[in-house]
Amino acid sequence: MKIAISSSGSRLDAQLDPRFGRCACFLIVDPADMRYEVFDNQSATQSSGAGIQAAQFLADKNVSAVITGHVGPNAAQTLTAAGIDIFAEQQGSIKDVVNRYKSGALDPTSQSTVDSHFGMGAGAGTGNRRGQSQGASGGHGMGQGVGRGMRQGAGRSTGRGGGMRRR
Amino acid sequence: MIVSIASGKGGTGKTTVATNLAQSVGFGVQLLDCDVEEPNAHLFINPSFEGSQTVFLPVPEVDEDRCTYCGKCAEICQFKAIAVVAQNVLVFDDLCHSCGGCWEICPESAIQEGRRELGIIQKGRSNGIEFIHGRLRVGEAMSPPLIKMVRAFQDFNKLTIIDAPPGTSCPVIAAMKDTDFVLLVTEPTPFGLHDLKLAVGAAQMLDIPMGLVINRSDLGDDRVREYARQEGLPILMEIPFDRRVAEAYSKGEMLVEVMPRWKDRFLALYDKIRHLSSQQTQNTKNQTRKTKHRP
Repeated sequence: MKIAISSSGSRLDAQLDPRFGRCACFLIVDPADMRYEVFDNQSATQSSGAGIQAAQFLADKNVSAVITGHVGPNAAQTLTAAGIDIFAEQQGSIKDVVNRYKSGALDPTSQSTVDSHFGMGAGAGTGNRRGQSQGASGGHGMGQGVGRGMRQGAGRSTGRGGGMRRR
Repeated sequence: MIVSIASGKGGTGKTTVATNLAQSVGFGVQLLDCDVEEPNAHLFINPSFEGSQTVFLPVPEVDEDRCTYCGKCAEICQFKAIAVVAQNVLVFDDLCHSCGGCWEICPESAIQEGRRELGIIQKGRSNGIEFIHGRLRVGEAMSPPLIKMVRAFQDFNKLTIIDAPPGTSCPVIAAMKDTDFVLLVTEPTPFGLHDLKLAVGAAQMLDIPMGLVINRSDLGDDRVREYARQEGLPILMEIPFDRRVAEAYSKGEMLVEVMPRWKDRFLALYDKIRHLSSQQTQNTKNQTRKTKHRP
């Protein structure tokens, strides 16, 4: 059983990265023995679709839950469809949040906690009339971007599978 | 000939120049308002519209009975508009760029072309001017597809004037690309200059000849003129600040109607554009000739 945590660094004492889709990296941890793997987040520099791609990546890794700060609407939808529990609005070191998870203190959510493009750093275009820039900063800092959501992702779901399996 | 009117900075006077140039030349002119997010040229030209056509973009529609969740569609999608997770296919219409990759690659032929509404196109006439504009659906994020659809009405037998959107990103490129001349409208202020440089860069990358119109030309500072001189960018017209120009604009009136002496100036502008544009074509021809004769 594996869980993923959005992280700003590659070790268990690193701080949780509050952005899901554009976090610096993911640590995939086995809570039983605290063994883990680190994956750089390839979605960090995408200008759009980062949450979907990150969720798809974790689904392909057979992760059963994700612990993070904020998830946008597209990410929430994709994770939920994949049957991955979302524990949002967490903070602290990776080790701390995993321990909190193990103690059963965390409550899952299926809703997004922020608008799209939350994780884009300062300088991301908000689609205003002048110089319509779409700059994705791609920085690995803890940028609290002011990207006002340009799209409220409403993915249409097809498929027979009930994507809500809880393990 | 196709002339696009761009700026970089918004509010410099693109629509003023586009509409008054169109009106001055008059017969045999097409005016395409490609600022599809907020078209405004029609407020001045006042065309009588011949109805309105809703246009769509193709987006994937997955047939769940045929899908095997192989995930090839998600793999090929550059925009993450389709995701396959745990026996579910999620389609995010808003992110789809209609490339058709997913339905081409699906080994089960499980994906059809559905559609999402892009906006409307309206055509009309006014005083011999053929007028076309697009209006993007509220909530639609992508203007280039609609801009391309408006530009599809280009008539090579006419003078086509394209009123481009402000800025220098994808919508502006879609409006400027493959035109014969880019007329840049600016104002002599720091913001005007900053965004003008970006617009010049974009037109240079597209390798299109350019000329400059300076609006509110007697205000601000000299840095735009200095920049134009350095770049060899010809200044084709200057419009000094005049409250009457602003008043006319605010009432939706055409400058060349309120102050008729401007008509000759716009006609002179048109002559200069034609001259510069044909000079460029001549230069390109000369270059080709030189290359052919190289031993």
